[in-house]
Amino acid sequence: MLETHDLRKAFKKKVAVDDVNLYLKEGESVGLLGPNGAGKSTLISMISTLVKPTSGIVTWNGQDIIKQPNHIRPILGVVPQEIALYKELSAYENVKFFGKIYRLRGKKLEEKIQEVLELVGLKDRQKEVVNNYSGGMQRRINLAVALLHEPEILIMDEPTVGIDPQSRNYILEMVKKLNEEKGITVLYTSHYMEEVEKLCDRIYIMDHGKVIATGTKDELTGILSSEETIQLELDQSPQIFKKLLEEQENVLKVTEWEKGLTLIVSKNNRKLAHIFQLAEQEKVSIISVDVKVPSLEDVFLHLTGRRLRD
Amino acid sequence: MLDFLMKDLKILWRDRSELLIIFLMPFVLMTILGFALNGVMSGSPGVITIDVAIVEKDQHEEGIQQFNEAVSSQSIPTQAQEALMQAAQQLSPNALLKNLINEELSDIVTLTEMTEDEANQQLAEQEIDTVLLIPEDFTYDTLQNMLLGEEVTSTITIRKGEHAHFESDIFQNIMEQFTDTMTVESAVAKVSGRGDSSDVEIESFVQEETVTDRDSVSSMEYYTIGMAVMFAFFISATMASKAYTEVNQQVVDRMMLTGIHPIYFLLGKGAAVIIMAVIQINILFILSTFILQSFQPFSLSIWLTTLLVTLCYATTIGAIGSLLVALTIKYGSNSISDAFAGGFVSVLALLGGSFIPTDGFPAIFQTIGNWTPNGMALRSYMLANQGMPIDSIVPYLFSLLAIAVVIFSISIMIFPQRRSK
Repeated sequence: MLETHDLRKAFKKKVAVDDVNLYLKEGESVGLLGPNGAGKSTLISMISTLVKPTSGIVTWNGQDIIKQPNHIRPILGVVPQEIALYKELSAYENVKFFGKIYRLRGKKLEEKIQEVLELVGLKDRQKEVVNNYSGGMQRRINLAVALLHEPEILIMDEPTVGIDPQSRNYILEMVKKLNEEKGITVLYTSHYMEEVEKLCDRIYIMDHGKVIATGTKDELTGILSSEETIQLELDQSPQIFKKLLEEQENVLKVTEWEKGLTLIVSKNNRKLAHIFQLAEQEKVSIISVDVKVPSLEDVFLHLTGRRLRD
Repeated sequence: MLDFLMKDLKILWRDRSELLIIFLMPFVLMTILGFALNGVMSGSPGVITIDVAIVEKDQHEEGIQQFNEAVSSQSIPTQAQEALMQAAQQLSPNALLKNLINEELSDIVTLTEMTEDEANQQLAEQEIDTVLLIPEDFTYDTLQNMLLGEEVTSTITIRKGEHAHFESDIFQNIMEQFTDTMTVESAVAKVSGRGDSSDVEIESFVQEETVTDRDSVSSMEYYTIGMAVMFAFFISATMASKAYTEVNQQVVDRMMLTGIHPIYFLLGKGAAVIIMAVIQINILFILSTFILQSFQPFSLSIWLTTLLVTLCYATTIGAIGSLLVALTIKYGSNSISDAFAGGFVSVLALLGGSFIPTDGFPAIFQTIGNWTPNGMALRSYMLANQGMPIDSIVPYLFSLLAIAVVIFSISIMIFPQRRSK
């Protein structure tokens, strides 16, 4: 089991990760959800032994891997947020180079290269220079390199940022398969709630360097079991209307989104008619109303007052 | 290491714009400077000038007299005694030495007679480069050595100025060659009639060993070498900037996670820099030779010596490249290599003499310049170009290699095992 104990990282006066405790059991798929700047990347950099924490420890089966990083590095596959490849080289050349520094040689190396290229669906285009690939294809090669040495733990830092939906689905399906069929333990960080919902058994929600909630998806959404989310699409700037809604007794939280407002209200006291009345009174046209079951996005909103992508 | 090296070479090879800058820019600059500053160089007698004070303690006439007396006291036939006395008169080691310096080396050596105190004072004040001390009994001892085959040593002392290592080394080398010719064989050759005057000896010595059988360095030659040693530095900076991209794209993180020792990463970078520097310098020399016809015809030995200098200098450049790479990765910033390429290289080039010969600089700058890698390489190339023997170049090559070892060791020590940020 991989565990962190009161893990903390401070850069001068800024605390990027604040006393985080988490664990990953063998074969689990764990999500790390949080907005940009929440401290996810710093946390996984410490877990993957690339950054030394200011305080706290990380253990792998009881061994301190901060002091002895080589205990975990050989079984770790890390997919960084950046495309950590040589863009002047072809996919084949990249995979081969990293394979060699993972000390794979000869026939075994060639087999592994073809296996991972097949896995990411780029076997036919392996001779092309990475720079000519689309963002999605580059991300797939980024993942292929991390799988070369058959890692037991796969740590992925926002692996789908800035790519087309098709490539995104391809990567998600592949990670799911790796976890379910090959038993690879996955730590997946993202600010896309739907990715974490789809892939992960357990979820840690981070904000401002702290873990603010943890549990399975059902446990987390259970935080909002007595509440509902109402999403209003409006035809104009909602500032005055927002203020009015915030004063209503049944409205627990109001936040803006690009086309209107999102309200969290008590489940048995939604008073939609009253909301329409207020809109009419303020001459605000409501274009659409959507009453939803709480999602992780809503949980985050509830806990922080902000949206994941803010 | 080979994997890293091949990867770095492939990446550089595919960056055509960078390649053009690395290989063609120095040629363009060298051509411009060579033509523009042609007058500056041709106005001087040569790039190498050595100011020598000669301190004469030898009593020349008395020495010959003393030798004659020694010959008379020996139990050899009178005819032989007379022949030896005549040979002593002809040989005159003291005159031979002065003739060599004043006539054969007049292009590069300026000789001034002084007392020992005056000479020491001027050396301390850096007014002269070297003091040549002719010892008492120089004539007598040398004649005994040459004509009687007695193993008497008469030591010519050379006091080198700290500020003029390069010039002093050349002068010392010439003097060593001179004393090597003061042998029984040379005397026999002359006395037996196969050689008539001291000129024969000096000429043969000059033909083989000294700077004076080749023309003084042209501006094109000088700037080809000057630009070559300067632009080699930029390869180190280029490699560091490539390493910065690797840091930014988290490729270095990926390498660290493989558990591979950083020395392979650094060795790969260093080796790539060495290869690129060797290619760059050779391209410059070849273009300069065939397009601008700037180099005097080279003998094979000069080419080989030049190649040896290139290899040693490229090794130092490789080590500097490793250091810049290590610093770039340690601090996650390319500001150090930017500062190196943007400013420090120019300072080194100026001090080392890439832009103009450093003769006119204050002594302190000359001393610093002599210790810069490019300054050492430039001097080594000049010595090789002038056909000087390898002995005079080897100390510079050892210094270059020693600098390379020190710098590379520092690079390994500072290369991080983890990311800094």
